[in-house]
Amino acid sequence: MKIEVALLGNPNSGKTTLFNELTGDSKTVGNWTGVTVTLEIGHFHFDNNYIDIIDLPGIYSLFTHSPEQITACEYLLNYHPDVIINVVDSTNLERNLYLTTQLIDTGVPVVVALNMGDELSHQGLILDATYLSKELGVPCVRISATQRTGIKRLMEKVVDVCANPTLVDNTRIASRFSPDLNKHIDETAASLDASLIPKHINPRWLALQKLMEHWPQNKDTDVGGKGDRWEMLIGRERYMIIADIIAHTLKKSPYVNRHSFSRKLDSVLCNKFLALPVFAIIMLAIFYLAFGPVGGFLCDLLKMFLSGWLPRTVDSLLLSAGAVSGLRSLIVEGVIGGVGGVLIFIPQLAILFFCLSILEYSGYMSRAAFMTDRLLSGFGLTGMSFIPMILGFGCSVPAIMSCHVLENRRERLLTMAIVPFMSCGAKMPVYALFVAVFFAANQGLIILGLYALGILVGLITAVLLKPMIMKKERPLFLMEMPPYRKPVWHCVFRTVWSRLWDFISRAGSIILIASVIIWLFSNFNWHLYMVDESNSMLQALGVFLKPIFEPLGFGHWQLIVALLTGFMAKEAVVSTLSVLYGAELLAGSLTAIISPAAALAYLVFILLYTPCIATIAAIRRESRSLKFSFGVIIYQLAVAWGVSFVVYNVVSLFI
Amino acid sequence: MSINDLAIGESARVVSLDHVPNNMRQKLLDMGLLDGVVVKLIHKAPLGDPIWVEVMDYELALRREVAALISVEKISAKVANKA
Repeated sequence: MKIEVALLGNPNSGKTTLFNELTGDSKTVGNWTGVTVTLEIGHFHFDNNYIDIIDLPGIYSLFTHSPEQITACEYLLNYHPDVIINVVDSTNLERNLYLTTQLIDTGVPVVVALNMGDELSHQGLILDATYLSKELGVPCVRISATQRTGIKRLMEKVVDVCANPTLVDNTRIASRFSPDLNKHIDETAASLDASLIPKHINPRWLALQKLMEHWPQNKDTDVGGKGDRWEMLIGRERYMIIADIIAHTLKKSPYVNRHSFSRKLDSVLCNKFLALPVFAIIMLAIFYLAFGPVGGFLCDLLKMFLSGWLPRTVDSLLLSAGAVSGLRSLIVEGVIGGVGGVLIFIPQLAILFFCLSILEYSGYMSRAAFMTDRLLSGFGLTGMSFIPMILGFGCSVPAIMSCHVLENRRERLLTMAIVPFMSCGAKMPVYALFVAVFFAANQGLIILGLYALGILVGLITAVLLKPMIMKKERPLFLMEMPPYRKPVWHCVFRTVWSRLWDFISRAGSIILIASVIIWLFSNFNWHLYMVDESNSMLQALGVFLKPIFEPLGFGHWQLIVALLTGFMAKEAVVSTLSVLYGAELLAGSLTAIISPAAALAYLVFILLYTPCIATIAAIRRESRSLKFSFGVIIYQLAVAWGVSFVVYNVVSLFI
Repeated sequence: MSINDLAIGESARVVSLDHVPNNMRQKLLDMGLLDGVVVKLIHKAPLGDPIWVEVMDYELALRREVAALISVEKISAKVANKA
């Protein structure tokens, strides 16, 4: 039998862990037509059944006040899942069941997965799953997605429900609403156009949606002049029914203080005076690990292999096989040089992803967002954007990839648009070169100023782009604070590996293509004769673009070509300049051709212009929008030009 | 009074969401914030905003601007423990 299963539940309920557990590696990521949020689809076999499972975004209710919730509703209406698996955090039953009771209303058969069953006893809770099943009218199965228990029983129930729909009684919850309210819901349901309602959907659900959201005008409609609103009336009854069910299913031990461990830890980690210092130390430690000696050493090792041994060996192999020099150059300089230059960052990324997923799984990430929210709220962002922004100072790629922690898609896009303005580590060598040549006396000050300018432009960008990206939506920062949990290592490693693999597969596709294109441009002239860089198409392009950069004070093709190669990786700016001017003559040539003001404008341009190809690939992947990715590139080019222009002209007045 | 007027460790019962704008009320309902529910203030962020409360057996962070819209009445620790 072929079964389509929809996975739904609150954020933090362990939905994604269960999804990974069920599907293993056999998942595909697809862009659902017509919706803005991406859904992951997995396939697996269970007892001769072929199961398609769709991981819907984590939501708290079915009301349509966020893109995630709209996606879930559209999916339920337009597709026809055979069963909904509703993942529930059983340590937080009362609020989780709010969604459960709504899912039952939809008319699609529901199976409840009572997750985190292993934590119940630690918290002194006893849960009667049989009674809960009876009261809700749907099967409830205790599982632990992280401990991998109960999952087989859950799937057996799913198959049972598919074969025998009478196992689910959708009327149990409905019958507990007050007769007055039920009468009104039934009347509203009868007034809906039946021909428009899909067969698998219960009209009662749409009637409830209509009342809760005051369709069609979205205006307030009072309940019979009592001054109360429908959503309050219905919400209150729903929570009352849930409280009543819980009173009979969940027994709390009076002897165990449920949250004592988390509370004790938080009294230190979120203490008024210690919170920010502790947070700063944690972030510094992560940076030190990734970009300091440890990550640096591992990257150097990989570099020795990727830019030393590998190209040498391949080159001599090609030579002995009699390959022409053009082919050798393409493979050694273009492919290995380009892709290898990106791959050497793997150790640093692995360390960052590892630390971040520990922060995420342990629950500290939510605390970090809580502590930093105030700093960002004035710019239309929430504390959740803080970690990506901080990571941006190391490398934009993991920073962009960490944006997945932002639950709201629009806020995620806004954060992605500003992260590249945080000056990444690769820009440092360029700053170092220029300040040593031009501003020997104030090196530190100039570099600090550049970092500050990056942050400033990022925050201004947030304010400017907010109305465009966020539309009318205001991030509210209503965030669940989960208790501290021990990271489950196989989940941590799975996350690290899937993020790394994401990066590696991009290096093999988009970055490979871009490397070859840049190699072509820098080794051939327009007649496709192989030439050295100073006669190449890249040089011609540099000359062609000269008028654009003349107003910024650095209209020299060598400097422009360096910007073009900087598109591959920002460090490439320095190596390109060394090649074009000659390493020993570089300092002298620079002071001869541009003024200090132009040098500063050049650095500002480097700071702000289009991020490297690996970052763009990451933005494309996380935003799933080509339009947005191009928009970011164009916006940043425009900003870089504008700010450099101002800097050049203002500074020229003084020096 | 609102949740903002509580001291850390104090509990209160939500009285009404009447001051909450319509599009926000649904979100508060989703998070279990509605009249009759008991909330307890646990932490404040180092900069005073947002605040961290316990509600319905779980914990929630929210900004002061939102908390200001939720009318509550203070209840004694004894009553809070029973609820």
